[in-house]
This record gives sequence, C-alpha cells and structure tokens, in this order.
Amino acid sequence: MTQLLAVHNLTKTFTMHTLHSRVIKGCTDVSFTLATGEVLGLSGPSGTGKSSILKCIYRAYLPSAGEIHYSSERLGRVDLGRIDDHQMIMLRQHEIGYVTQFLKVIPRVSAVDTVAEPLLHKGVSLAEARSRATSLLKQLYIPENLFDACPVTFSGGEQQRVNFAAGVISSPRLLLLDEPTASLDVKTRQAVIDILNRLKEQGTTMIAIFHEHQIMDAIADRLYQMND
Amino acid sequence: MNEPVLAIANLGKYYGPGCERCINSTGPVAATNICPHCGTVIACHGVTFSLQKGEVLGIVGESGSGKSTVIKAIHFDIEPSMGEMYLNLTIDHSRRENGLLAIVNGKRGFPVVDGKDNIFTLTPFARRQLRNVCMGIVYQNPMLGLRMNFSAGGNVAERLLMDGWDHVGEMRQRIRSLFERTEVDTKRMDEPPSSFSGGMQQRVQIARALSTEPSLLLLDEVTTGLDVSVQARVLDLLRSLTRELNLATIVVSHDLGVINLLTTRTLVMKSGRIVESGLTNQVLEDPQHPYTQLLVSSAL
Repeated sequence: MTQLLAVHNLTKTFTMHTLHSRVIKGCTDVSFTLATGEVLGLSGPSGTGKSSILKCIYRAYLPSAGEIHYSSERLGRVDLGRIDDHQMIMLRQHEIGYVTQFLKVIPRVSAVDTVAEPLLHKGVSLAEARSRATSLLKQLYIPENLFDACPVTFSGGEQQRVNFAAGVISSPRLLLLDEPTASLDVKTRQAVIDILNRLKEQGTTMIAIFHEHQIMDAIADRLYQMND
Repeated sequence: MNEPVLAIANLGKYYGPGCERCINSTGPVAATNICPHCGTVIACHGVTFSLQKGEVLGIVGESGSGKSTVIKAIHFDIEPSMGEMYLNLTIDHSRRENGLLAIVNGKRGFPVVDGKDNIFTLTPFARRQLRNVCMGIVYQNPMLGLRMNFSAGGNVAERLLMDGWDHVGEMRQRIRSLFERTEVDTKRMDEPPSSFSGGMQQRVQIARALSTEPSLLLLDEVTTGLDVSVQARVLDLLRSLTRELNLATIVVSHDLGVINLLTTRTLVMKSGRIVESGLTNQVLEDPQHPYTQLLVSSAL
C-alpha cells in the first residue's frame, strides 16, 4: 500500500495575545503515517489535542512546528501546513473532507442543498447532486418533510447528520472525522457506521475521533494513543 | 493553478504632504494611521493580494482600517498614491462593435486586460471603460451607488447605455430579468429608489452592478444597517449570485458573520495595513495577529 499521509513532529500551540501572550498547548510532537485506504483512530482523554491534529491537517489551524506530508492526486507530495491558500482550497474541494459535530448553517439554504453543495464544486449537475443528497439524508433517517427546510431550526442530532452527509457525500480521498456520532441514538449511529464502512470499502482513507469504543473498534484499523 | 483575475501590488493611499518617517511611525504597532510628524493620513500602505476567478475574498477590519480605501482604489473612485493593479480578463466585445460605444471609442480602442499592464497608469477614459464593463460595485450607502430620483430601471439603464446598449425594448427586458433575479418588484421599476426600502435599494444596486456581466464584483459593507431578516436575504442572494456567475468578488465588512458566510479567504486590515491573511475558517478559528484575536473574541 502506498503512503497517503505522513505527520512528522506536528506541534500546535496558541499564543493568546488578549491574555498577556499566554501560550496554550494544542498537540505536541505528533508523528504517524497513514497508508491509502487505512483508517486511523485517534484516542485519548479530552484536551490531549486530538481535534488539533485534524484541524492542522485541514488547515483550520496553522501548525506551529512539524510537517504534514500529503500525497495529493493533483499536486503530488505537499506539506499541508505550507502550501498556499489556493492549493488548500482546491484540496478541500476535491480531496480532503472534514466532519465535525457542528453544522455551519447557511440562512435560507435547505438541508438538501446544504448536503448537495460539495458535489456542485466537483462539477456534478444540480439535479443529480440533489437526488444523491436526498438519498443520503434518507439513509440517515432525516424526516422527509424537513428536506427542503433550512437546518437552522433542526435538533442537534439532525444538524449533526446533515453536516455528516455534507462531509461524506463527495467521497473525499482523505476524510477527517471529529466525533460525528457524538449525540446520535443507536439506530442513526449504525447508519453512520454503515456509510463509513462503505466509504472504507471504496478506498477512502480516514482519521477518526470517536468517544465510543465500539464504533472505534468497528471502523479503525489502528489506534494512535494520545497522552498528556 | 489558475491565473489571478485581479492582482494588487503595494497599493498605498496617503492624504497629506508626506515625510520620510510617515511609514515607520504608522501602522498596527503604532496603532495609528496618522503620521505624528507631518499629519499625513496613511489610509492604506503595502496592500498586496490577488484574486482568482470565482473566488470570494473578504477584507475585514474596523472603521478607518483602510478596507474601503482598497476597493475604492480598485474601482477608480480614488487615485492611489502608489501601487499597481493588473486585470486578466476575457471580455466578449461582440456587442460593442456597433452602437454608441463604437462611436465614442472612435477606433474601438478598448483597453487590453491580459494581466501585463498596470491598470492604474491607463488614461481616466480607459479606466472608466474598464469599470463600466468589467466591474460592479455595491456601496453601503445607496446614495453613492444610485441616482435616487431617477427611476430604478433608469439606474440600471444608465449603465447599460454606457456599455453600448441602444435598444430601449431590449434594455427593458434585460432590466426586468435582472430585477427578477435580485428580487426587486418589477412592478415598481419605474419608481425612484428614494421611495424604496433600504433592502430593496441594495437589491437595485446589485442589479445595476451585475447588469453588464462584470467579472469583478466589489461589495462595500452591503448589509450594514439593514435589519436582520433583510440582511439574511441580501446575503443569501449575493451568495447564490457569486456561485452562479462565477464572479471574483471582494467583500468588505466589519462583520465576521458576513465574512464567514460569503468568503473563502480573508485579509485582516488594521491602521492601513494587512496584518493577517488566510483561509477564512483558519483566520476565524486560529487567528494569529493580536488584533485578529481581539476581533474574533469580540464577535457576538
């Protein structure tokens, strides 16, 4: 198997200028590699920097030190901490997906269109994107009478599933999962696991944070243990 | 990678006599943009960035940070003190072969925009042509962008005329479809914008800005001062329009919510300088500069 991602001595600290330049620790000296198609689980207590790693890979955070080598289909081998913004935008649109438990709601945009949007970036037609979004929302047990409503008024779990659907619909090459099942019941959680397993079979590489051990065991090939 | 549609290099705008110490004694560290030695206002200095096709860039900063100065310079509303601007666009000139514009132009001398010439050095006439055809702007204050006592349709027609349209029936049809798209009540297209609500005035401005199918859209605090529900509708309209038309867009706002909603990349300005730039969600989640951190922690 070929190497897709190699994280090398990744460290993230935050300098809080509004608090007399206090330095807060994100993650320290993290190194791991990931082969194409592999699923890596990040585990460890809260506050050890699991989310920071994912955010650095997605460039929601700028790494303070270390490298994140990624073998891109379009750009070749690049350091995600250092490539320019336009290249990162391109990778986010075509190769790297990121799912959190929080939905960025866009006013007046329906659940279906929120989920369909990533496909539009990839050049899929509106009609097809909507039909794929609809079937994904059905699989996640979102009530059909909510499909054309704006998710701003949805329950926490429904918003989370809309967000999950938007994150996985375009089958990204590398999928970053930050507790996508945090507040879901057993039935919908199983639907999430089924979708993730299907992606895995199709060759999607993943880095995942789950709090429930059962899910981690069901999906991850390997665990990376985080410590203080 | 794509070629940038717009590139700005080292843009500076100064009001006053200027002295040798102006630049070093102003900026975010000095926390002022007024030179203490000669009183010159450094509205902006050293502003450099580029914009690709279809990209939406945000410029955020407090009042007086120079963000509006930047887009006013790009729109040729003010003459920059220094700096360069390059445009690289494909313009369909077929419509301009005949009619008014051909006569005005004489030899149809539309400026070449292949990214090689510094646009700031072109003649005022050439820049005005570029502005009419390639750019649209929406101001915070509709009084700046509209003639309040012309009809709403007339406001759009004015821009179409400058772009060589000369058939009244075709123009009316075009204006009607623009108003339908921007959600202006077409029954009121012959009424003056002075009789319209604030949100509707902004939508007339948006229709006017888009009438000549520009490649570059400039939005200067477009939703500031509108009430929340109207703000959401205008933002939603702008968001879908920039997608649909694949417009390179600059959004100037002090509102991080607006920036977060509309843009993919953001520049943060303070005291006339860019203090930070990056992907919008990175700037919001992991702000580096002390001023950006203050701004993010102050957001509601």
